[in-house]
Amino acid sequence: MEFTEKILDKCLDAGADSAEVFSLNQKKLSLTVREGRLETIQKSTPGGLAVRFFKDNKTAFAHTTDLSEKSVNEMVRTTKNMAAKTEPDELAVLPDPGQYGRDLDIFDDSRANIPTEAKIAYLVNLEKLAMDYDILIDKSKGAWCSEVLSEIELLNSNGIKSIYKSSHYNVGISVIASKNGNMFPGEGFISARHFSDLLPAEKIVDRYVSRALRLVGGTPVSGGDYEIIFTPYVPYTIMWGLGFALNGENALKGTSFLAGKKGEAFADSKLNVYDDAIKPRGVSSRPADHEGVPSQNNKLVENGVLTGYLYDTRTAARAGEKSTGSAIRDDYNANPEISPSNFYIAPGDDKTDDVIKSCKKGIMVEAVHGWGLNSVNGQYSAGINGILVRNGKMVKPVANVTVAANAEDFFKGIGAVCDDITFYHGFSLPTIMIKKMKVGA
Amino acid sequence: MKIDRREFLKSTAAISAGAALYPGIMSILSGSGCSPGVRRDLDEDQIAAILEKGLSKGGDFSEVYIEEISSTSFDMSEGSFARATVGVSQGIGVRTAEGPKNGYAYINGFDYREAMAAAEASAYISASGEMGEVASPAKKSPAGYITIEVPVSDVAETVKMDLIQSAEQAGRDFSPLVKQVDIEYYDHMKRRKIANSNGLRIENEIPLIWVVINVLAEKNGVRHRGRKRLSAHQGFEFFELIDLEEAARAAANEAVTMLEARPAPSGKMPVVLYPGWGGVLMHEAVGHGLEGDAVFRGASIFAGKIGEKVASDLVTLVDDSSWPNARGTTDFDDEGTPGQRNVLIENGILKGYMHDLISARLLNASPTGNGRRESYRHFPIPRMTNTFLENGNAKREDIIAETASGLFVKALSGGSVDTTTGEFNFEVREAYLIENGKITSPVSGASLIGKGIDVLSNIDAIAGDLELGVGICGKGQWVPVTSGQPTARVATGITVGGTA
Repeated sequence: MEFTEKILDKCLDAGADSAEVFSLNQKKLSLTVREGRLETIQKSTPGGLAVRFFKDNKTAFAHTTDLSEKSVNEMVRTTKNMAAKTEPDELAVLPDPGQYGRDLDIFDDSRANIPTEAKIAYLVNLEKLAMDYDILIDKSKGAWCSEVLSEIELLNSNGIKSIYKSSHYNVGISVIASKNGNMFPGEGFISARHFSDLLPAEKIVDRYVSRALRLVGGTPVSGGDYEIIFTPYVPYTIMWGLGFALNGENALKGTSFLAGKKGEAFADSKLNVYDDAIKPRGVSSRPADHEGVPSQNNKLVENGVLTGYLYDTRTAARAGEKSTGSAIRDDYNANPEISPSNFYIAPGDDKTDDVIKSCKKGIMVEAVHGWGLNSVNGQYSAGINGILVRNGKMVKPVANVTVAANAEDFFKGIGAVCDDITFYHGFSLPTIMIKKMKVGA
Repeated sequence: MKIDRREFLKSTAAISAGAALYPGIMSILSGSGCSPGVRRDLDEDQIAAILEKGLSKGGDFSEVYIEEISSTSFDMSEGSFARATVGVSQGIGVRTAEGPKNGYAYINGFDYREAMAAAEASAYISASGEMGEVASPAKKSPAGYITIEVPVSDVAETVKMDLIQSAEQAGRDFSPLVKQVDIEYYDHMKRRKIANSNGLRIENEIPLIWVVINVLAEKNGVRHRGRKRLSAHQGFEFFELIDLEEAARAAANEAVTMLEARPAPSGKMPVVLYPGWGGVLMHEAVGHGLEGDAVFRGASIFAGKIGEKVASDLVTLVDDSSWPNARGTTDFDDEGTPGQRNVLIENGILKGYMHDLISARLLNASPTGNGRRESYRHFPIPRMTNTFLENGNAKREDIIAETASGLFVKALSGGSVDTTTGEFNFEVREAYLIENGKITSPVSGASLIGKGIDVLSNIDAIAGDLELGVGICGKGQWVPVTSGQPTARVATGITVGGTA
C-alpha cells in the first residue's frame, strides 16, 4: 500500500484536485491435459497500475506495467497533460468512502502448495472419466484448469482504501461425441472462488458430456411457432443482452430497450432479476467495486416490473441516483465500466419436468450459437441445439434451426420460471419457458 | 474532413516536440526516427541464457518474446470527450515447445532474473530430459509490409481529437433522427523482438489505428444502431486515405435506414452478401476449420482433405498477411515467420492450412506465418490474418437481378463457429429483402446459421468488387484481423432466423 499511496501523493503534488490509484497483482497458473498428457502449462505473475487524474473537472486515465520511479513520474505527468486536453465534466467525480460489509469469503489459496503433478493427475482423471463416459465419445480436445490469485488495491484522495484478495478457479472439459458421421462437442467449464466449491470431476463430466450425447445427430424441425424452454446451460444468451440493457449508462443514452421504462411491467410477473455482488463465495462477489463503492445486492426486476438500473458513480450522479457499486475493471489497464456481477434470473416455483409434460410442441434449448438477446431493441434471435418436445415427451435432438421473438413476445411471454438454478458462472439462469417463438428451418 | 497533406504534416511537426509522450515512445523515435531496440530490454547473452534454460529439460525449441506497447485512446460520447487514456505495457514471454506441447511463462517488465525464472517454469513441459540445443543467432530483417510515414505518437492529441470531433458532427448532421454518435479512437505503437533456439533473431515496430463509430437513431420508440469501423497497421497518414466524416455518415445512414425495417423472415433462402466485413462469414464458417491446431487435433471437418474438392469451383479463399498495411498484416508473425499470401482453397480444391511452428511440424508442412498472439501474456497459436474470398467474374447488379427472392445482407455484426460441427452463426445488422430481383425493404432482428461446408459448395455467384472489412477475432485471445469478400451469393445452405 505504501507504493500506491506514494503515487496518489505524486498526483496531488502535481496539482490534481483529486486522484485515484488502482493496482492489480495476480498469480496465475493454467494447465491443459490432452490424451492423458500435459499439453500446456502457463505460469505468470501479471500486474499493473492505473491512475485517474482529476483537475478542474477534467480527467484522464493512464496505466502501466513499468513501476520504476521514473516511469511512474512520467505517467503522472502525462495523465495531467492529457486531462488538460479533455473537456470538463462536472459529473466526473470520485466516490467517498462507504461502509464495507462482511467478509465474503472469496479468497482460497489452499491450492498454492499442491504440487503441479497432482493437478495434472486431477486433469488426467477428468479427461479419462469423460472419454470413458460413453462409447460415442471418441475424441478429446483436452481437460483444463486455471487458478488465479488476485490482490487489488484501490486508493483515492477522498479517503477510500479498498484492499482485498480474491481467488478464481476454473475447470473445463472438451471431448467430442460422434454418431453416424455427426460430431458434437461435449464441453464446458465451471468456476468457483474456492476450489472445494467446484463440482466433483464425475459431475462436471456428467453435466457437459451427457449433453453432447443428447444433442449429437440433431436435425432441423419444420419452421413455425414453438414453445421454447431455455435451460440453465445457456444463461449468457439472455443475461448478456439483459445486462447491457440494465446498464444505467445505456439507459441514459437511449441505447437500451429498457430506457425510460423504470416502473413499467415490461415482462411477465414471473420475472425477477438480481445482480448480487455480495453473495458469499459468489463467483463475481467482491467487497467493493473498482471505484471503491461498497457492493450490494441490486434487485433490478421485481415481478416483471423494472425497478432499477446498474450505476457507477458518474452515471448515478447524472441520473439522480446512487451508485449501485457496479463499476468494474476487466484488468488493471481497463477503465471502470458498468458491469453486472452475480447476475441472474431468480428461480421460481415451476418444475422443469412439469413444464416438459405440459408442452405440446416445443424445443428444450441446451446450446446456443450467437448473441441471442439484442440489448438495443430487445429482439431475440440465435441458432440453437436442443431437444424437440411433443405432447410432453422428449422426441429427438434438433440442430440447424434458429429461434426468434421480438421483445414483447419474449418477455411478456415468459410462461414458466423453474427452481433449478445453479451458480457455476457469473451469469445464471433457471429453466425458463417462453410461450411462443418463431423457429426458422 | 480530409486533411490536406501539407497542412497535416505541418500541424503534426509543429507539435511533436511538445507532445505528451512516454519515455518508451520517445526512445523509439529518437535517433533514426524509428529505430527499434533503443530501449533496454535483454542483451544477446541474456537471451541466449534464457533460451538455454528453456531447453534445460529437453524440448524442440525455446523462444523469447519481448514486447512493448505505448497506446493512446479517446472516447467521444454524447458530444464530449468522455475519456482519454494513455498506457504502457512491457513484458517478456518465454516458451518451451515439445511436439504439440507448450510450456509458457511471462513476466511484466524486462527483468532478467524474473525472465530466467519464467524460463525455468516453461521448461517444465518437457519430459525427455535431454538438454536441447541452442543454435547461434542469425539476425533477420522484416519484410516491410507495414510502413509508417507519420508515427501516431508524433501526432498531438488535439489533432486526433479534431478529427474525431468533425466526424461526430458529420454523423449528427446526417439526420434529426440521429440521437447518439459514439466514437472510440485508439492507436498504439508495438515493438516486438523475437528470439528462438533455432537462431532466429528478429524485431520491428507495428503501429495500429482503430476507430469505431456507433450511431444510434430513434423514431417513435424504435431504435437501431449503425456501426462503422476503420483500422490499419499504418502511420497517421491513414487518415489521408480514408474519410472519417464519410464513415460517420455511413454509420448514421445504416441506423436511420434500419428504423424502417420490418421483422426479418425465417427459413432457408438465398443470401447475397455485400463486399467487405461480410467476409467474416468465410472467416468463421471456413477459416477457423483451416487453422493448423484444429486440424492436427482432428477437430476440424477439413482435416485430411488436402487436394479434395470442398467448395464450388468459384471459390478461391486466401489468407494473406502480406497485404500492405492492412489490419491483419504482420511483417512477420509472433514467432518470427515472415508474412505471406497463402491460398487455402483454389477453385474449390483444398490447398492448405494455416500454421504456426508447432502445427507445421506436426503436420509436416511449412510454417505459413499464422502463429499469432494477443500479447506477451499469450503463447502463439494458428490464427487468421487478412482472409478473403477472391474476386469472381459476375457483376453485383446481375447477381441481385438474378435472385428471385432472398436476403441481401449489407452488414453483419460478429459471429462464431463450432469447429467440431462446422455450424456457424451471425447476427445481421443491416439487411434487405430481395424480391423479384430487386432490393426492397430493410429487415431487422435476424441471425444467420448454417454449416461452413454447405456454404462453400453453394456459392454460385461472385462479383469482382473485393473489399476487406476490419475486425477482431477471439480464440481464447484477441488479434486484429480483416475479413473480406466481393459481392457473393450463397444459393442455399443458410437459414435466416427472423420472426416473420
